[in-house]
Amino acid sequence: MMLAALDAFARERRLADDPLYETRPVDFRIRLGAKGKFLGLESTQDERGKGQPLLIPRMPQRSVNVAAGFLVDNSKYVLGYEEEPAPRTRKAGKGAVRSAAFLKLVREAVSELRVPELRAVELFLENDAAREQALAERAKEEWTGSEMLAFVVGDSVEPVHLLLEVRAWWARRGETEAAGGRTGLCLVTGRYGVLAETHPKLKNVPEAQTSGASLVSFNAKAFESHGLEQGDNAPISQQAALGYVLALNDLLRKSEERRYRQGIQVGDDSVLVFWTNSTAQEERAILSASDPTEADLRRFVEAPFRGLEPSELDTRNFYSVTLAGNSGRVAVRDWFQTSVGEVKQNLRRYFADLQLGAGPAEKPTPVWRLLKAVEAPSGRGLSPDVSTRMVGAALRGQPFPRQLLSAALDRLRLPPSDDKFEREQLRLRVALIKATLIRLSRSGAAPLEVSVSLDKTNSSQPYVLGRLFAVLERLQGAALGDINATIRDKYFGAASRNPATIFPRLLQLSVHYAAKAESCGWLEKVKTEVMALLPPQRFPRNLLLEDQGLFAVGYYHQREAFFANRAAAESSTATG
Amino acid sequence: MKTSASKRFRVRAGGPVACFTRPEMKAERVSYEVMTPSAARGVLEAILWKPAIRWQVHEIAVIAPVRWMSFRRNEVNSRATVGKFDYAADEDRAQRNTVALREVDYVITASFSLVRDKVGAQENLRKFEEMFERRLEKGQFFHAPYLGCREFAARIEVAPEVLTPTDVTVVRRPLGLMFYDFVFGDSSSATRPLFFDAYLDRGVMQVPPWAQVLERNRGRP
Repeated sequence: MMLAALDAFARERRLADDPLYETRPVDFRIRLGAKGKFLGLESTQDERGKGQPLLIPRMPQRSVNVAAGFLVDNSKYVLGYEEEPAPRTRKAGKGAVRSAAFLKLVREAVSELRVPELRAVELFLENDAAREQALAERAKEEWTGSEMLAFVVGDSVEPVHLLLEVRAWWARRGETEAAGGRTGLCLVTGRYGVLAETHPKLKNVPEAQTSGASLVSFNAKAFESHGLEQGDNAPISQQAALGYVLALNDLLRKSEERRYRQGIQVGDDSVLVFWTNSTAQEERAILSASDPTEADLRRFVEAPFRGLEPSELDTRNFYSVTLAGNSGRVAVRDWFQTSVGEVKQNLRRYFADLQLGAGPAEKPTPVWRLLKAVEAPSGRGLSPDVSTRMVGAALRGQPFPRQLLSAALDRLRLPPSDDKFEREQLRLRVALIKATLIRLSRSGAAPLEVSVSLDKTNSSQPYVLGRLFAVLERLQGAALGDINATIRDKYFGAASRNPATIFPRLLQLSVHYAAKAESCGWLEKVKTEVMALLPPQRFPRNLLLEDQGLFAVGYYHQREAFFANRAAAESSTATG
Repeated sequence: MKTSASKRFRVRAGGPVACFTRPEMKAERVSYEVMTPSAARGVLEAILWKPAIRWQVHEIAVIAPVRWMSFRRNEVNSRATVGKFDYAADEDRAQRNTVALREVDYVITASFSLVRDKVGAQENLRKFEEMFERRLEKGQFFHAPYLGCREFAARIEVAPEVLTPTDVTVVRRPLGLMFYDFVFGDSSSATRPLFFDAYLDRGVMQVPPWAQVLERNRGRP
């Protein structure tokens, strides 16, 4: 279903219109005389060194094999350019073999067509001296072997490969070649077609080979069954194979402001790409909400979640797949399908769940920022698919992985490593805890009451204990000022796990703080207020993971309330 | 030829993990969302298989909602080779990802027919029917029944009368082209996979008969 949806997407957005041609940047035009005489090398590169995009015959699949393009290719194939042999292996390149392969295809065309321009190209390619001359046009160090070259003959502006007769021949050849393949039922389209032996490659998947990696591949004996080889294991037509790859490559493409045009990086090794059969505009709205760029964030100040409001396109399909590279192969980590409206609704709810503290709707926090905040400083600790599941849960409206709760709590227990971001980090961590708790109750577990900001009526014990802890920390601050290790640094973890062992001591200490600090009568009052919410029995011995989360939320709410009070007090003294 | 099909059996098969691997995503496994007919056949054949009988799965009812899980394992690149003992798995590692189903529960409805040339003089349908019933009730099997991959063992029991499939409200949801079974080749032809158009209709997947699927795979819908 996934490949079928991708193939349909490619057809809808007209990505696979022409299986024989593709548009690629071409860096140089080689200008020839009518008799194949080399006239010059014309650069088409702009000031940033990017070649001019041009329609060219589709390039063949290449890995270690030699496969030449038709009339357009890189300098290794066209001119036989060869780097110095690798210093370690001392192995010579395949220059001669490559240029012979390139010439062979041109000769094939010349033998069937009477096109003088083609003949000129053939003459040029047969002439080693002419090719040397072309290479000498640029300094030796400037050649990299990857510049794309096309031919023009005489005064013409039209490249040889786009001449009408040449195009017609290439199309005829493509058809005969395709018809020569084995036919069968294609499991993607459900129609009869010529089956693909191997599939084109995906580019730009993290952790995969830079030259590209295959999604559908059978590259070791253990992956084949019943004596079937390569593509026979999963019969897919050439057309569908090209379609789904073009679709994915288009989504994974690097763009001006994003690493993936329509993908969200999740974790170090995977990327989530999504597509719809709705409009590109709707897709952009979803993308900028779930993974905002700097420009998006600036726009959110004007209108939060623009584009996420319901529209008539909400019933259209939404597809998402998370891909991870595994050297030569691409693995699917997660795949689901829902409707556009469902995703928009889930995204809004996701931000509502994360909302923490009073005030207007905040800017959306990219998922990776959230996850970074709960990661151990070493960058390890979260298992690689937690982020995949987290993003999936956000888009699907499902509970977050429970691992996030324990990871976030672990980070709270450790003393903050960086004072500068401390407050922001704390906010992100507690927001994540709060959202996880809220979502737990949706999944049917015992409902936990978690509000956006301080809830003075909430008498749930862990929540009140969290508040009490914040009050005690504040008291200490008032009494001792800035000190190296506060009670939060020392006792937060223990207090949230085993309140009975810590709180009596902290309360005792607080009496001394109160005595030492002047002007904290009001803090004492808050303390009494909070204590009144606790049941008269002893403190609980231990708290479960969810309750520890609630403790953290209570702590945060109370702490923020102090900040808000102070801000209010300061502004009133300033104006007064 | 007289049609000689057994009565229809209803077998409940479930387990904590299942992976009915899609052929296009086989190296890095991704499961179909519903048990495939060939996996169902495998379950039945684990309980009873004789050269004289041939199973036909009629429908697969999905009792538990579809849930996914994903994990990575260390596997190897080579197939097991008979007589090769100096094999070092450490030098042949392949880390592979699996997207599997969890907490699955199905009711398989199936019958078998007799293979004409293989039936002995003393054998008849009734005999095999009773054998199957006895074995199913006693929990006997030739090899452990499994859910798509050998390592995902299945719980098997006679299906209770009342079991409501999941999503009974969803009418005819297309699942795409699904793997049906292999046509096992002989000396003259190679083994090849067959596919059928799968739908989940009120939580039940109807499985077409062989003849119809063969027709479809010859390019005639």
